[in-house]
Amino acid sequence: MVALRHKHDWRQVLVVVVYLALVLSMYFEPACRNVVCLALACTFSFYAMTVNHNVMHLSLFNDTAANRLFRLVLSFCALFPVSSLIPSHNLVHHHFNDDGELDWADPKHARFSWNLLNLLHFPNIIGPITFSHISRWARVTGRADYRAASTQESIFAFGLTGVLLYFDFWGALFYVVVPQLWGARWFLRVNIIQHDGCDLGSQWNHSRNFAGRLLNWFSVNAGYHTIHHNRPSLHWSELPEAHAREATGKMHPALMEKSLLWYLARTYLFRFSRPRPMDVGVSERAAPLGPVPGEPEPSGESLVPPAVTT
Amino acid sequence: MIRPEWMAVALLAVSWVTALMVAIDALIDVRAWLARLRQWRTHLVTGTARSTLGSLAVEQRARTFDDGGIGFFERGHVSTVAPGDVDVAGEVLSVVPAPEVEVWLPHGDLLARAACGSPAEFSRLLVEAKGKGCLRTVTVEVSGGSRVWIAGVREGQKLVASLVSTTEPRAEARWRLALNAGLVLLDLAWVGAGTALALWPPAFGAISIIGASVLLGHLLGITPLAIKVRELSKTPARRELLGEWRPLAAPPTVAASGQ
Repeated sequence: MVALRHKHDWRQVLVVVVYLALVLSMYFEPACRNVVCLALACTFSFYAMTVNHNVMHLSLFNDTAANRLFRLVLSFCALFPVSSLIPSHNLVHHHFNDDGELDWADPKHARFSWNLLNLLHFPNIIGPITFSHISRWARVTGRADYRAASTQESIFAFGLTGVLLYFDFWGALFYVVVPQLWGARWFLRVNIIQHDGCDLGSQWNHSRNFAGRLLNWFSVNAGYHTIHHNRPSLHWSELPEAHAREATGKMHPALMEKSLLWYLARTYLFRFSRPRPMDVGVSERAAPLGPVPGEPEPSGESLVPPAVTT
Repeated sequence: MIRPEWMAVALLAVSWVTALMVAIDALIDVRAWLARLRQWRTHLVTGTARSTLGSLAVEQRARTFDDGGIGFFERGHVSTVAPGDVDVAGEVLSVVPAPEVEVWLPHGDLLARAACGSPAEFSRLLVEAKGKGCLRTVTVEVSGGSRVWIAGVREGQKLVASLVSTTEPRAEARWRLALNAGLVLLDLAWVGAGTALALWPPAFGAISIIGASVLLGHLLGITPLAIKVRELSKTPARRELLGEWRPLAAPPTVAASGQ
């Protein structure tokens, strides 16, 4: 029988169901085409992307077919093959570099003086960089099962979206494609939000965290990024406790923000220039902290989630 | 309920903001290359190297492809300038490197050096590149007797070089300026054409749908193009080499392909 692998994962399913319900309601029922539904759909599209991120680390169900089906649904939610997160996120981003070269999603790829443009344009830069590298990675090291999964997800995502566009072009464009692109693009922006100005070479000061309760409830604890980077195989529901136990006290206090919205306003709206990188890792470099207890160093293939290999 | 016109206006705004950001991003490279060209009006000399003046090295990781080929992935580019003499318009200048010196060589020279020399070389690397891959360094030197262009600050008979190039740097700059100008023109023309079609009466009719599709294509298509142009706009000292070797029966030599 198909079941969730973790008891808390009903929340991840709920997020995706709510998102799909909003999008399909707007598509099929003109009365739902209002600002509230659209705003909620865009918001939940982003939350669905955090689910997407989580299931690429730890698959959701105890059944291979169910995991595959869920990845197809998530690919439609985001309008891109979600398996592409394995090379781009699990194998490259978690190391902060690609074998000596910049991480495909490194904040340094953004180069405007006006910081708001960096936030806005960031997906336009790292999206193509990432997919260009992924296609080469898939040819070199990608196994046939990865390529098959990615192709199936692309066909499903673009095919279903195409069908919706065919039957109601404007309805699909405004109320399906817009939320899809909104979520996927904000997901890419998370890279600059959570890492810009941090010390990517340090053990505990490479990421910015967000403690907001509402954000973390719906984004399934995506705010606890430091501990997620250091312990990528930890279930999302365990992140707050692990953060308090392991990261607090070791990372710079400035890297724990109370509110995402206030951080965005402060960093991208209320100032013109890009903040200078903080030397948050200085004490850490002076006295290295050693390996993270109980967790092997993130290393390549071990991060490929079981869902893809099965 | 949201009126379709409002959504259409919002999406037009998104398209134009995207187009403008792509253009402004390209203009960053345009500005940098124009600044170089201005500097070179007074700080660029050409002459003949008396000895090896330096080198450009590209470190790569080689990994095997699923289909039996070998792919190369960049790890870093290193420009090195060795002190040496250059004949410039009848006088001899001693070249010393500035801290951030770059060495520019024709991309074709690097491609030629990166190419597979023999079946034996292919077979050897194929074994070494399995698993996590192996490292190799593709190095091309600025050899004695080469015509060189040197940008830098002259201090008597000493020339503190920030650039040593065996390819005409102004031509390199102009080509990149043209590339970026072409991108900006294409970007604005693409979004302009999409806008004109999208606004074609009757509103939300068949031509309007074509226009919206053109704008969606712009949103998804212009950015990969812009990133490609950004990559090609890097200086020759930083340009990606990449490359692939393919197993061929005969002839054995397979050229590396730059991207």
